[in-house]
Amino acid sequence: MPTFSEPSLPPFFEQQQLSIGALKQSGLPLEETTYLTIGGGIGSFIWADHLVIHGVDPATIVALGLEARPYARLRRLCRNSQIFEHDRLRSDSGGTPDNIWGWPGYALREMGRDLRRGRARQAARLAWQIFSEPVLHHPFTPQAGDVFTSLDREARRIGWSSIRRFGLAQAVRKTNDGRYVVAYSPTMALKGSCRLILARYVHLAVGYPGVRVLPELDRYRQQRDYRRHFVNAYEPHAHVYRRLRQTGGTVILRGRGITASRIIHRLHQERERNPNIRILHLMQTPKPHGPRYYYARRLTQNHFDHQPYNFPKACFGGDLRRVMERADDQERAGLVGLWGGTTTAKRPLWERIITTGLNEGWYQIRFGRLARVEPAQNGLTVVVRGDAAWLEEITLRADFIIDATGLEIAPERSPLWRDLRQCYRLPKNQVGQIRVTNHFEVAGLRNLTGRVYAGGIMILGGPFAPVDSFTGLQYAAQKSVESLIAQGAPGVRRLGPVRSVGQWTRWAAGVSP
Amino acid sequence: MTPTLWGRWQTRLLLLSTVGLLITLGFGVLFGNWVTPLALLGYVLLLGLVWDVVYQGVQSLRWDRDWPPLFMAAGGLLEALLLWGLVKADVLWAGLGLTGPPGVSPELTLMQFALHYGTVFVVMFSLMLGPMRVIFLQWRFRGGQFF
Repeated sequence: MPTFSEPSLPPFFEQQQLSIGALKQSGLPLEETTYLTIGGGIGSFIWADHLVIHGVDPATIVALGLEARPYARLRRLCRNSQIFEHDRLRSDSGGTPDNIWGWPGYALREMGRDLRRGRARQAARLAWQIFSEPVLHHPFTPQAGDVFTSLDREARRIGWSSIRRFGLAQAVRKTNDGRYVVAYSPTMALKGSCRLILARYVHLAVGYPGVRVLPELDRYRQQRDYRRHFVNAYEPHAHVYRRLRQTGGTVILRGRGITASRIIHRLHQERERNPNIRILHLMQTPKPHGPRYYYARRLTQNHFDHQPYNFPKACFGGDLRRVMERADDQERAGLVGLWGGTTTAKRPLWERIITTGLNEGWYQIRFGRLARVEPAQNGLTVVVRGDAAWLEEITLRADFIIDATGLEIAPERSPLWRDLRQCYRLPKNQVGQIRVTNHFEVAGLRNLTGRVYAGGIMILGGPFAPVDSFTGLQYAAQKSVESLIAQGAPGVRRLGPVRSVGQWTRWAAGVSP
Repeated sequence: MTPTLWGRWQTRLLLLSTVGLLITLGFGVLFGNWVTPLALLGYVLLLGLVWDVVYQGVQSLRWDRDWPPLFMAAGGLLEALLLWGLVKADVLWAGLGLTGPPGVSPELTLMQFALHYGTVFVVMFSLMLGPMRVIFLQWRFRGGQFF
């Protein structure tokens, strides 16, 4: 990937501030816009959607990214981790990336669809679920396909195809007239082609830099002998299920978050075709009980931490959101660790699978680390070392190792953020991510009237805890729009009650904003 | 939306003084008595300010610190029962030298009370589950607070 010093960037990009004259003399294609969002995924889409609904002319917005559809990467990661269109995401009904108001939520829309299809009983059941959740019923979560379809509809409504531009952003620099210039590659061929685009307001939402591989496992993945047997849950690994269906086998699973739960569910589905499939769930340490926050304690069962979403619900818009916003950097890091961390949702089916598996013995939990992995005939020989107190080592034969420990979040792993940090010495917060203000501005990049905002996982540990959720991206977009309004940014108008209802009515009618 | 205490108070005040008031005036016409429905609305507001402190306390015992619709409905029912109990607590009012809570007619029937209270509650409940988010864009993030 290109970086600060790679030759695909013009040499003058080594400077912190570039002159407009030099850019024009460079001979590189140069264009201008007012609002530019980099990433082109759901974070960019939500930001652009907010701008358009707040009155900005879509012709003054550019979204730079590699995919035509804003949800393309999310869908790919979902499919790889065995969440298909009909499966449900871990998201609140009101987490609606296609609708800045969060209403109607996906539950109400699903009820409407059921009623239109004459499935009154199903609609009534759903109504009861959303009325009684999470007390008497597990919380409603939307089907992935419904989210994607709704994003398509909103994309058409706001003219996303005109806003979106294919390009890989390589570097962002301040200019001497209070703007920013972004160097990007308009093709997948990274070297040799570079275009420049100027913008007054820039938004960075590049998402996760890649899949996370635990250091003790990384070296094995580099070797050809292991590659097909040692997979990451977020990478394509359909061959694992095909092979298990045919021959059965043992899977060692790492991670205990929502993805691990879904992988167990998927393996259980294969077990119904071939009962000779076993799961060894390798956890580093036992988890007898969840963390406590004042009088409340998080539910823990079978060493899984349970909460409906990746953070307690009040972090999305209640008193915990306010606690987070008011906390200092150090406190925020503590709260992210306490409220967040690796958790999964309590779903009756998953509970039944775990309980049945434990009782029947085909699902077992072991505590320890992978000490060694060696190739064996059609599989792997795995040495697991218990915790320090016992120093026990057990040798297992496994057919596959599935690593479901998550995605990489470090800014250093993102070429664009790494370059920005090197060039402008941007400070990190205590979580290790990029520090932003309460309006999600990257203060270190302020340039006269120019502003840079950020959203998504890169700013975890900032003023909002669930920052990489649909609702978190909406909150960040809304706060940055508030900041733009305060500065008198062109075209952005406050959305008071009357205009808000008017815009919502246009959304409901499917009319462009 | 998971409310804060300020959010509960502000939302209650706003909704009761707008849609709550309109509905109450409608019942005033229906019952041929303006004072009793208005007095009841006032009591719902005043007692509600106290109830909200209790609700917030219960909410803080929950890990998610949320306030599910079921709890909202249960709270509404509890508030109704307490208010009706107070309206009909003849012994209490007699001790104070009154025939009932000030402003409330002794002829108020349970049906009238249930219709009035129920309508106000259901409309407020429905508004809080959705349309409030549309009217006030930041309401859901601010835990029901307007300022």
